[in-house]
Amino acid sequence: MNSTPEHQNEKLDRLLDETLDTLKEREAPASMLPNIMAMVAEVEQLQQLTWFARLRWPVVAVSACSVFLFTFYSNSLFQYLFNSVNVGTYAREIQDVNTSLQLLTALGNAFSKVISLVPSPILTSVIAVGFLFTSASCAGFGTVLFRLTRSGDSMTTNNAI
Amino acid sequence: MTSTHGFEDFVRSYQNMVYSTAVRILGNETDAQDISQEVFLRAYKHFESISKSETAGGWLKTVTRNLCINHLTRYRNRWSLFTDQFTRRGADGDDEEIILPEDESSAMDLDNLDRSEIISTALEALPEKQRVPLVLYHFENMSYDEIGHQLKVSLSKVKTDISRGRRALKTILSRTLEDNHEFNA
Repeated sequence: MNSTPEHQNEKLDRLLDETLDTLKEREAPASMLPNIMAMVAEVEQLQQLTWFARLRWPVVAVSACSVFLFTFYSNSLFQYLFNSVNVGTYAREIQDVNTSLQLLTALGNAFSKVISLVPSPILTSVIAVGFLFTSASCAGFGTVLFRLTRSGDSMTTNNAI
Repeated sequence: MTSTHGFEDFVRSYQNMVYSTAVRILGNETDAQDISQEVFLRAYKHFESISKSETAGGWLKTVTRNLCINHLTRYRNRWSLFTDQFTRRGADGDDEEIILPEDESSAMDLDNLDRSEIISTALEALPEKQRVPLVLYHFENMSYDEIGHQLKVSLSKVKTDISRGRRALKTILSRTLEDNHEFNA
């Protein structure tokens, strides 16, 4: 009987290969199928919604838009509150806010005046260039972020459909 | 839209294959289940074409493999912490010996346990750097070159890691056989 270490090693190699070749598939947990079908149902449900409801608005973007809109319309809002509520005690503070808003309005008006002085073709060109530049920047940053966060997540290999 | 009944049958047919692939590469059942679900969700999005394709199994395997490797790459630090619980540094600081989890090893009746089951458990307990190339080589039929390319490591490292993994498994196998008095018979 040959029982040298080399022989034993070969025997072990053979046995290991045989064992690995005959390893059975692991049975998936019973909860997996219901979980997958629940996720699929969720996807289906999402498809039924209107495009507006289907979008998942980011909280930060929604908050930023709300703050912007509030600031934009706050002058009228403060005017309304100022006129409708008895604010005797806070009159000075509100006046300060009102003064600041008036300053902002004046700046806005000045900006509009400057814009109106610029010839229309130049203004259109500037807006177009600005729009193109912003779009290109968004696409560039988006691509970089996508590459950074999803590096190696390639699903398109030779074997994939 | 896609028939969900047809998709349910599709999942039923392939779920064991996908889950097995994931659990072998990841060595962790919870993560394997998450990845499997993600694979089938992606399959659902392309179900129209996949259901008619004869290579659906291959597509699922490839996607599973890619997602698992991506998962391991992304959470490498967390994984090294996890695998440290199951491995012990050898004398050279690189060779590692498998230690099966306490509760599992004590629960194992080596005389009665199937050899395949022991190797399967040992395989999942291998350190990530040995387990992944070994699984890709043996179960995914990938060449050393392909493994090196996929894992972004050198060819010699792939060979060394597979060799070390096999050595660790052979040690377990040898012990099992000695316990069963089969080896020298």
